[in-house]
Amino acid sequence: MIENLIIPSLAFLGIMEFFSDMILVLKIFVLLTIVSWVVMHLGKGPLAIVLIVGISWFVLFDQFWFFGGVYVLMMLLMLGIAGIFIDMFFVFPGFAAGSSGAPEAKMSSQGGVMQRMKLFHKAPGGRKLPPPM
Amino acid sequence: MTGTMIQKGIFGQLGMNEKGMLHIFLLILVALIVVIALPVIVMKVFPMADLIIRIILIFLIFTTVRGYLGTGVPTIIISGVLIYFLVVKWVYFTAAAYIAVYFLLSLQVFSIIIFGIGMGMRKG
Repeated sequence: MIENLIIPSLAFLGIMEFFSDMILVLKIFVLLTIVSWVVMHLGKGPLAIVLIVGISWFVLFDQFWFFGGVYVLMMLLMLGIAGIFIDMFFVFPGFAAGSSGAPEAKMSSQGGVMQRMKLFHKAPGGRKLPPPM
Repeated sequence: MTGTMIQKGIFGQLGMNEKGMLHIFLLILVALIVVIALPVIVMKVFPMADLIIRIILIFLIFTTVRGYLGTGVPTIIISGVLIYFLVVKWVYFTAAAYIAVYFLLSLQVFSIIIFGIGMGMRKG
């Protein structure tokens, strides 16, 4: 019942067309990656062409629901999205706790991470650190 | 319910710390949307900027495909298909994605935005 309402509305708004086009573009980029990888390893001989066809069929037409997501995730990780999550979930608690008067160290050093963790645990409602062993 | 707890809709009971974090995340989200929407606004307001951004995107797509396949006919065909979809049909989405990926992620500008908002909301 719901599907009968949702799918025509999405089609009316052009969202289905947008997604189908973007999936095609994503498949082209995945194909480029496969071709580039096989040619880099095997050159442009007949074995490379057979391998390109086989891998492309498996990745693009058989299991694209999996490899499409993996490709997008791999691209995002290569572009450094993990650093943004570190900023959001580890740097912010230090900001919320405020400064303790001492100059702050960078996140790249172990001392800096410990300093931010201490600030986070000192904040109202923050967790208590276990005593040092 | 204690004084430091608030009722927050579907999020349930949140402490003051969590409430502050929620505000920061919302601010980051708004800042991100503004920065990503900027090229679309510029393209709508200035037609010359629209043309320049389209040319930049065409160069970018062709260079990317040439990097994968080298020079040749397949490069031109695949570039043509990608240019039709990304530059002709969905140019506003592509421009926004270009800004998001190349400026915000590759050049770490998004980290600067997060850092700036965090510093702005800092206590003490």
